[in-house]
Amino acid sequence: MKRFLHSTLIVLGMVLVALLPAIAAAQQSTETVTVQVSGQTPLGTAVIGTIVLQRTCGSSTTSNVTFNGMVNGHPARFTGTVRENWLGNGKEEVEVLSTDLKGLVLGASPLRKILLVQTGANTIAVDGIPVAIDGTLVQPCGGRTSYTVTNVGQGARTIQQLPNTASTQIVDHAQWLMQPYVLSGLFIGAGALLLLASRLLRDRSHGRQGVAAAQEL
Amino acid sequence: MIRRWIRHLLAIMGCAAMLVGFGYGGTIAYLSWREQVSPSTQRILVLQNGQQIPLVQPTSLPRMPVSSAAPEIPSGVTNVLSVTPVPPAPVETSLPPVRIVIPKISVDWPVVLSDNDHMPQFQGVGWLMGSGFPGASGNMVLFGHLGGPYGTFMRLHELQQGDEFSVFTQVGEQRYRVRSTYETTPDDVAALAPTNHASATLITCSGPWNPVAQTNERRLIVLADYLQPLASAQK
Repeated sequence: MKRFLHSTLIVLGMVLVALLPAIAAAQQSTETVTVQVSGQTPLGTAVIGTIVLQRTCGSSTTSNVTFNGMVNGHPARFTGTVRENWLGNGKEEVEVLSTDLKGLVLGASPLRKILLVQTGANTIAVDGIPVAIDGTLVQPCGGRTSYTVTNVGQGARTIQQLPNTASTQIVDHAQWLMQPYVLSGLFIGAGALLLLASRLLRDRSHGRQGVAAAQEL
Repeated sequence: MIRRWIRHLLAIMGCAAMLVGFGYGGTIAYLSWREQVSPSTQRILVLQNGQQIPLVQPTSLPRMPVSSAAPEIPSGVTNVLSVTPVPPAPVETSLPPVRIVIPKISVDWPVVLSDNDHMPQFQGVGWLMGSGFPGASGNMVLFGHLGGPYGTFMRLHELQQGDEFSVFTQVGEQRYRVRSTYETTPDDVAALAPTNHASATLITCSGPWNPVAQTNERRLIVLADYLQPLASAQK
């Protein structure tokens, strides 16, 4: 019995030793993921482009990230390195290790952590902000290699026209009104005018009261 | 008096925090429901006859060059082992296009993701969001301005059947050959429809200027079939 157990253990050990390099190789595999992003920030900046993640799979996944796209119609590109930690249940923590994107880096190490949480069938929250995604977020190196991400709540978009590739630059004349600072300026201006009007009314009523009081006297 | 004031303040703050909590949770729940009913990431083509086609590419299908891409065997050559082109090895992940080169019309421009609402405002070619990836099954739609400061496809009308062009990704070059060209109206979005094989569609404006619509009255469509990656072609 003892000999049988001994030989079984030896065989199992040999099988494990034979499998270990394969397991290690599988853990060190790579995966390339593309994420098509289109959206508008609360300040009105339009961002559209493709993020390519080149992942090196392992217990924690390190990825080289490149973004190629447009910000407000102008070309934009950034690169960086991130570490992805899958927390389970559709949650992932993304640590930005390095990037040449201005405004994201504050100098601390890790530079910044972003928490992604699946909140519904087609929605995730990025640091608490809901974002639309096509389907569910799959753990790094889990096989899904393509995502589409947009602003949430817009609904499916219909395309009824081919792209307008005319020579002339198309300018939406009402669009400048929707710029946040212009909008803010308009409100401040309107507020100031209302205050001025209320003051004028008060002065006028005070003036009337003064005249009435003088007449009474 | 101060105690009462603090008590009121705490009550108001508590109510406000609860309102914010309910508001945020409710908004998340509503948006999740709405995304399930009508996903914002989905794009649907509406054809002239009212038919609706989801803009989804069959990227899961294996990548195969189409029959028109087969090399022509000169007459008289008999010692050919096989005339069937060897399909390139399937690539695990399709990468987005970053550059297009059409030697015949001196086109060499960067390519960026784009759509009807986000047109390039620089000399760049747009890659329609939701269209195919270079070399992968599906219809890769690229479009460029006809002229002006952002003009990229000014000479697209010179392309003819058989002309070839390249689309570059981060790692390689994918070759396409023009199958046909035609003109159509701006509302004929059938050219954007997905295909089962790897193909490309190039679009620019054509025809007279319509000042009311602020665009040209027609669109030039160039349809092309995928050949194979340059590396495979050289083997």
